Amino acid sequence: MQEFSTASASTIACPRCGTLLAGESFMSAGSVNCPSCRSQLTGRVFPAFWSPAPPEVQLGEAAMEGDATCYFHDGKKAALACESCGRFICALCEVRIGSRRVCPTCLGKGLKGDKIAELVTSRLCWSNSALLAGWLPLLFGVVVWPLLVITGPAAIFAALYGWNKPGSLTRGKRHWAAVLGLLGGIGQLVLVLGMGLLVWNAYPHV
Amino acid sequence: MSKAPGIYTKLTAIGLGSLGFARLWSGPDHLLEVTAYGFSERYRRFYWREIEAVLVRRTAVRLIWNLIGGAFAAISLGGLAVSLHYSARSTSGPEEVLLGISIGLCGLIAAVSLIVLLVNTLLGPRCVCLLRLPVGVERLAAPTRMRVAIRMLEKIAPRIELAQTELVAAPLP
Ligand SMILES: [Zn+2]
Ligand SMILES: [Zn+2]
Ligand SMILES: [Zn+2]
Repeated sequence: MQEFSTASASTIACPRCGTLLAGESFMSAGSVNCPSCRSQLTGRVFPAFWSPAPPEVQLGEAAMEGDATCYFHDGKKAALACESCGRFICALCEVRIGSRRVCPTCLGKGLKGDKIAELVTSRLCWSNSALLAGWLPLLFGVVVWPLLVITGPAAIFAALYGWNKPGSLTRGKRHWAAVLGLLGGIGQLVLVLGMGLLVWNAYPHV
Repeated sequence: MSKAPGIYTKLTAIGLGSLGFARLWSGPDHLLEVTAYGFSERYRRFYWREIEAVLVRRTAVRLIWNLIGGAFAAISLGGLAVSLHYSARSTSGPEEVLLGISIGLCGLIAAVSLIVLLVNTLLGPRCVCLLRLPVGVERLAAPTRMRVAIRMLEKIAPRIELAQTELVAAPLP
């Protein structure tokens, strides 16, 4: 499938066949049909479409007598304060994360510690894992009951180990899911113990 | 330095795309796409001030699924009719058991495919959503239904325009 390309400035290519359509056709609500493939397209163009923001290349100004200087470069004039640690930094040192501007040190710390929300690309959701491991096997429990020896403790582990770990970016830690998962895990252990005892008693041993 | 959860508000209902269950959230300066895989979540961010265009293309995916569901429904209903026809006249033991199993199985498949057909039809036509950014075009994992996509577009358009107010320069006529 061809995507609508950014090759030409004021046109949008049909995502299906690549035919160029004028950007103006997406200025108002309602849909248009691609003249060649008849695809129904609904869209909107925004100011950035007509005037793309120029790339910002900044080298940092040299510091004059009396100017505050960059924490990392003695000779460069401070352009702003890091929004995380407050150090003065020059334009060269500035790192943009979304709408925030931070210094390279804070960026490094954020990358290592999974601390800057804007840089997180994936999260393991411990409470969700506990919930799934705690209850999914119970649905098929009677058939796969020996498996509960593994999934039960796994659910308990995920609930306890992940209690203080950062949760989903949008839904938070979801402690209720961890608690439910924990209960499910304990339930599984009880069930497997009961089944084990039943089997033990059904076959009398010498 | 981490932002507290709660900076995001829900933009769309959860949608099942080819890439998993996905949902869009509106953040202070960006659109967040969350794809959930059960144990983990994947995040992609699209900053309001960088979005040049949003495009929603209607697809025929709903029709394709309805054809598949329809075929399953037709075959299983046929099987059900045949089994019922024979079970009405035969009375012998093993044959009756086989016919009973056939009736149950065909009935189950017919019920499931009819439900799929109904839900798929009621949810409306399917679509793909694309964002044009300075670096290229990104396809969103959700929404996958026209109705949800259009509502999403109506919600995010003012946010994008607000973030790009300093760029406002109408196209030359
Ligand atoms: Zn086309
Ligand atoms: Zn800093
Ligand atoms: Zn510097």
